[in-house]
Amino acid sequence: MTVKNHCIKSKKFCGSKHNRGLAILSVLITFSVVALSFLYLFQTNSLVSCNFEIRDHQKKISQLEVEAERMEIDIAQWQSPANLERLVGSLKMIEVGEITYLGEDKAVAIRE
Amino acid sequence: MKASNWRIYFLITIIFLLGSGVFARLFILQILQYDNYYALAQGQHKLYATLFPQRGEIFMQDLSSQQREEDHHCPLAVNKEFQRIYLVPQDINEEEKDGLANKLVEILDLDKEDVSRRINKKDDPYEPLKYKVDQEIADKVKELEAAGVGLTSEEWRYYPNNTLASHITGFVGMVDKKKIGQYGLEGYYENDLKGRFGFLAGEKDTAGYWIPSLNRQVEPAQDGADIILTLDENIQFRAEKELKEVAEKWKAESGTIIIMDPKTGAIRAMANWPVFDPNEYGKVENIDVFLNPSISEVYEPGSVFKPITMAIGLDADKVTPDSVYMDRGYLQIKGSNISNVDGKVYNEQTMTQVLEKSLNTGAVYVQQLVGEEIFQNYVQRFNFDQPTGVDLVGEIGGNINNLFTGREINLATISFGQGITMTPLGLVAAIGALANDGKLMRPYVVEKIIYSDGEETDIQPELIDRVITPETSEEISEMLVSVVENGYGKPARLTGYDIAGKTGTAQMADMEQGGYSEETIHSFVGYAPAFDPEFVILVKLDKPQGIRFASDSVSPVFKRLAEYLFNYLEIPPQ
Repeated sequence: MTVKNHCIKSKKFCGSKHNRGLAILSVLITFSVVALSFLYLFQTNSLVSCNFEIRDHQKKISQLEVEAERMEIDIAQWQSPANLERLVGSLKMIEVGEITYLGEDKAVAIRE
Repeated sequence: MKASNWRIYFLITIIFLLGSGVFARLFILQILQYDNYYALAQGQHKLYATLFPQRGEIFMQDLSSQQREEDHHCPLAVNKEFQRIYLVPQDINEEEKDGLANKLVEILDLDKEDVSRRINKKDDPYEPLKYKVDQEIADKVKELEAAGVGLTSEEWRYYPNNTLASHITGFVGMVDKKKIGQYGLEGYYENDLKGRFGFLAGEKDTAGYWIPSLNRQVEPAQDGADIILTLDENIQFRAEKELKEVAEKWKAESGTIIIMDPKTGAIRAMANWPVFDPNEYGKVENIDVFLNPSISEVYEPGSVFKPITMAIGLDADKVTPDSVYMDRGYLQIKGSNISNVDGKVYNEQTMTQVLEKSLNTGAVYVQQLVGEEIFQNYVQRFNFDQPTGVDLVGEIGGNINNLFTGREINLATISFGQGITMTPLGLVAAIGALANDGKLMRPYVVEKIIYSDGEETDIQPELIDRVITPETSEEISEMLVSVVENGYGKPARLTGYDIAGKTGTAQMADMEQGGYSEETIHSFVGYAPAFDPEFVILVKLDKPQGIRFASDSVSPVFKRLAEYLFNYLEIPPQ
């Protein structure tokens, strides 16, 4: 009886050691699967979020580009000779009369 | 037992038939219609898109900025985003249709009847209302917040200076639902400007948006090349302004001003009247206005051709500026009379005086001294019958056939510019050769092409031929300076500058009755400074009313333009 009990104890002991290993492995696998799942989810979310950010930025870039182009065209129109002449006309300026060119031997102009 | 077997067999048969049907359907779906369903499945998560290139833009020079050591170019043709307004009639409530139509008519300046017809189309999912709508107007439409009214952005060609240099630019029009450059530079440089389409393949999400980071294949679109012109914005503007004023003053039918650098052939301005707005080319009633008269129409130049005849006489050593001939006021050639335009008799006259007084008999005298064959050869060398090769669409050559008829009278009339035709640009190129040591240059309007990859092509001046010697060039220049100092060109005189020039009042051919009509073409062609020329200018006015001679109509325009150019290009007096 004693011998039998010992055997049973011994088997129990051996069996529980083996089971514990399996259990740890199972836990590890489960944990890994869960962790990897979370990692995958996290990465996928990050990816989607990045895609949204890229899309937003692209939209903003194209809006700004259009705005910049529109402003360049506005500037060109403001600077056009036709517009400048119209603006100058209201200033009542007098046309330049005779123009004197300075010769090399008459260096009287000073440029800052 | 037998009945039971029958039922089993019946059931097996039914199952077999149903199974066969399922298999047959699967066979059809998965094998026979594989391609269709594969494409459908791909379409749900794959994205294929054509990438459109940006059309290259066109810029003019600002030579004044170069003098300030800046590099500034002025946009002439650019790309601009507009809005397209459309209706979805099926989404609009019947009760709201009339009110909405009224608002749209007011904002978009459309025809009420047309809008009502479109808005009342039942079950119509899409009805375009107006293209090329400016953002400010589109914002007003947006503010309506009306169901069934949509906006979509689209890029169109835009010419910020409206009519300025419209004959040079041409426009981008729709041909077979494609935007294609027509006339002018848009037509000539279509292949460089349009760029190349690109391609995008990738995955899309459930909302149909492209997922940038997944399996993407991109062949980027190649934008069109930008073009920098030889034309100067300020000179072009000034030339157009002067032309408009003089054409309106003398009620002329049309007119042209060309300004060219004779040393290189670079065109600084090419103004034509009447003009059109390339932004609204569809509103033009007569499409002939799209043609550039500087290169697509020929005319008999009249007396502005005399410098060519005289240069031929000088170069062929038949006359000198001081050679004398006897003017009797007219001469007869086989029954035909040729007389001076004022009908006066001048007796002994030098060749310089022939040009000063624009004597027809003197021009005929030179031609007869030169002889038929040499005269033919020289006129051919000036290239009047060929296109100059300018980089614009629609250039034609003149007609010099009368040179080869063997009739003396034809050669005689050609000597003073009647019976021969040329384009205004052909004449400018030829006069440019007189100014430029006898070197005939190819006129050109594009100075630089900048490709989207950064590569640049500089267009180099091109010598066509040396038509006269430098000595002849100097002699004819001296004679033409004398025309401006002492002759009919006096109104173009400017103190301190040597200006070489010649007026011409040409009779126009009568196409219905033959011969010549009373209508005239007034021209002034000249260059300055005469012995180191920076520019050659042609001012031409067709059918002016109430004025007889070009010296009174177009010479003052030449003077104002020359004065402007001396100041603008900072050319000091000699």
